[in-house]
Amino acid sequence: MNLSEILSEQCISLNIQGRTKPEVIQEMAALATQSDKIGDEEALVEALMAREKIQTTGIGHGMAIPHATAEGVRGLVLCLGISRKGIDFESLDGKPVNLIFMLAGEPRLQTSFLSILSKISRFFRKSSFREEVHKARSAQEIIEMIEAREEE
Amino acid sequence: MLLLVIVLNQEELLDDILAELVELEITNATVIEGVAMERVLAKDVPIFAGLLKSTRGSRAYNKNIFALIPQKEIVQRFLDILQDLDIDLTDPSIGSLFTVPVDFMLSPRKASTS
Repeated sequence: MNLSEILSEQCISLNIQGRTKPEVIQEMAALATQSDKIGDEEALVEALMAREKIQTTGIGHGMAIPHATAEGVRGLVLCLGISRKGIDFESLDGKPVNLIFMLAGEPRLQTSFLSILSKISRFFRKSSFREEVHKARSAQEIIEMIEAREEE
Repeated sequence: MLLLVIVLNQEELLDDILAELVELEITNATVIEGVAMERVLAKDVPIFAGLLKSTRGSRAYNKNIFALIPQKEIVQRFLDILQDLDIDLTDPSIGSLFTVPVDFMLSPRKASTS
């Protein structure tokens, strides 16, 4: 499954306002709810925070990938948020996060869910790609960048 | 159905390789610790003790990854991803890879997700 299949313009925010992990997760969950695939936004927030307690999803290089499977989610939902100021996400490298991917899925789609996580991690390990996405001026531009990356 | 075998000499690449299998929705892999044949011979069989000198600088230990792959096309996609990550399995210091056809399999039932 490609990222562009589950990432829609309405689930991209170029200006995330939250400055702390709980604020940002709340904001990303609200963004995901716009997809109409989230039955219970609060349950999603709880699942995302529970996952963060196991280990932070701030993987370093300015990126975080909060994720959870939860009842009430239909299919897979991917959201992207860009923070201009940076977020304290308790990242593994201790640096602020600017790029947040949030992935939510229904529990029966565990294999596809893991596949998407892995793909995000691979695509965005290239600093040049992260910088391109960070500089994007519209959600459409980001989707086009990801589509181009998928065709490489 | 194919059995994909990866002999990984550069063990620090293990996480990347497993993550890429997951990306291809291959979640059944098994990882086995390995020791290079030369190392075992050099250490355990006196007549081959001289091999120890020739193995200096090479990797004595490796990881062996076994995974069932449902279609050959997935192997090609895996190779494409390895290339994207600059992992070159034609370099013997990094490792090698091969597939074997599987003509019989007794697999466990999938767990119920309800």
